[in-house]
Amino acid sequence: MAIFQQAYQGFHGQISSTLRQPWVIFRYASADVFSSKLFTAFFVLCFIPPLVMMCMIYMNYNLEMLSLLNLPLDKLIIVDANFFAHWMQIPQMWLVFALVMFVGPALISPDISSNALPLYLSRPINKTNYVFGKLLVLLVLGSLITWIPAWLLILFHANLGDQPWLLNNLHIPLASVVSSLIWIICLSMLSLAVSAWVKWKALARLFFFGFVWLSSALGAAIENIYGGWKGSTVSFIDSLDVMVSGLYGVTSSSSSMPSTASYLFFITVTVLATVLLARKIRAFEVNL
Amino acid sequence: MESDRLNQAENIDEVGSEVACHEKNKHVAETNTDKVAFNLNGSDKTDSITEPAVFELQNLSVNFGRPILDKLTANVRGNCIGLLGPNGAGKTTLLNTLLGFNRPSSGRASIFGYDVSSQSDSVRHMVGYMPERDAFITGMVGIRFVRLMGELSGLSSSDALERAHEVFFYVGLGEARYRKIDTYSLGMKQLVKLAQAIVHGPKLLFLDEPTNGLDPPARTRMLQLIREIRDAGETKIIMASHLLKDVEECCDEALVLKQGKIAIYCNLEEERRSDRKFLLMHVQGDRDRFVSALRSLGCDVALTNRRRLKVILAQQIEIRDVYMAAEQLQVQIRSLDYKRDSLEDIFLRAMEDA
Repeated sequence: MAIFQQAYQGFHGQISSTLRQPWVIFRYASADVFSSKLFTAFFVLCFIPPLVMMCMIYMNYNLEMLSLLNLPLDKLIIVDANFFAHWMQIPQMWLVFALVMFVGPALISPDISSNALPLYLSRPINKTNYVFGKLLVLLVLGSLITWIPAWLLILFHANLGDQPWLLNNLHIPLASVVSSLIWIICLSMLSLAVSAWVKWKALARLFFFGFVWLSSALGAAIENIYGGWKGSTVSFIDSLDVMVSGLYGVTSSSSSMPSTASYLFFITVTVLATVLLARKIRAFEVNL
Repeated sequence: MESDRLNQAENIDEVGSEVACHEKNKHVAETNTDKVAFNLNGSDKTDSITEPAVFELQNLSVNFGRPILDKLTANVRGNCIGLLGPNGAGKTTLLNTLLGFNRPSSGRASIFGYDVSSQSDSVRHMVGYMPERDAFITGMVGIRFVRLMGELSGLSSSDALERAHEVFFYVGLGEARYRKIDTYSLGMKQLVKLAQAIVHGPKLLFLDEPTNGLDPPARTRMLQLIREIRDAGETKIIMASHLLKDVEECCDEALVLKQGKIAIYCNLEEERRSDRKFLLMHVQGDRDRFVSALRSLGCDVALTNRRRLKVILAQQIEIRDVYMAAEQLQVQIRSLDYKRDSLEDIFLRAMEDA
């Protein structure tokens, strides 16, 4: 219908499958996220550490350049599981934390505060698809700065170094994906839950930040008082280090907590956040 | 003025079922059984009977700690159905239940034959919803918002964009479509809510208080749009409102709720077509003899107060006969007015009856 024909007409075109709806939410939410210049700049900066590491790996195998720069000709760095775990994975994980803190609270709280949920949920989209669409934004952005560059570095190193290296270290790319996804999903669900309950974006960010750091401070306090690794069971910082170290097969520098306890911690946080989110994502509040 | 209106409604009650006399079109709740069985037997309805009901309720109850909807049973057909009732009657709860937002505590509800609980996906493909409260996404430009809603309803990206432009022009916001919704006036926000509800051309449109907070010109415009959508014939409308005038202007059927139960269901279209009127007269003189004379002519007469009479003329009787009777009995007719049994009268009576 041409726009000058201002009479009402129904729509007679093709209707797509409901499987597409999370993708629609993802597309619009991503566009909103990148409308912020500050975030775009931050996101670009997140690729600098992997680029620096790529240069280091390159230089590690480029004897001419090493001699030109008067650097030792034997290995500049040792590229192994420890390198990927502590130089690449954990720093990038904390960039994910900053990213989730910036993006997460802006995903759901505006929909709740401006009463848009009935509009979403009156359409062929359910709560799960809605949350999945929002989660997908954090999952994709988080993946882009964690395991995807890690994989590129691994492939780059495998290409430059000795050929059997990748075959002998297949657990490294696997550890990179698994640890990244656990961390991203846990933080994302937590930030979405906080943003659903705290409608004001800035306050939601503060809560999210406080939750992660205060839990770690609490963990440190418990450890100081009681000793052992019990405090690490409530600490994001220790749990992350233990999980990444466990998956990469290297020694954790921060805690002697077993890896299973760190998985349990992340699963518990994710489940609690999901329950909180499910209670809040509804078309309307029932006031009795 | 308010007291006059109430008085008028009371007076109509005095006339009772004779003045109402539209029982063949109207279906009064059998409050003692808490059940209403609707039988639309108007001759023009025989075709629509073969179509599935717009919505059907079977002993539908909804509880939120206390019963909000109590064993509603109805089979509702019509192009535009008004949901009426005082605050807390259960209008919005019924809408929310039909939209699948509430799970029925017992019974079932269906839209065009699809169960709203077990087949909610099919239902949601067919409906558009304009909520009562402000509902939009903060910081979003109007056209992008409506396009998003179109895409979420299953339209492709390009179709959604095209339709978003169309509906923006249709509701009269074409010039404002690139502005952020936050900057819209209340009337414009209402129109955007309507635009997002119709962007995907729904088969059934839920409107919850569509004229809320609108000034008279905006209200007129909104009602005109609703009538146009109704008359286009592709979309059925369910309109919840506490404004009887709005329902009367747009709807052809009205379902009145009171305390979670159906108080009355009437076919307004039949009412309009029958053009049932009564005379309201102020008389002076021997009123009793005048009333007897009118009754002997076959008219139904009710005494409303000392001087006012309500008269439904028999079919063969004209006003001239009333004047002649008055002249013969030397009764002065000080005023004479034609009145119609308005939705307001029906509503007020239902509130008292139920």
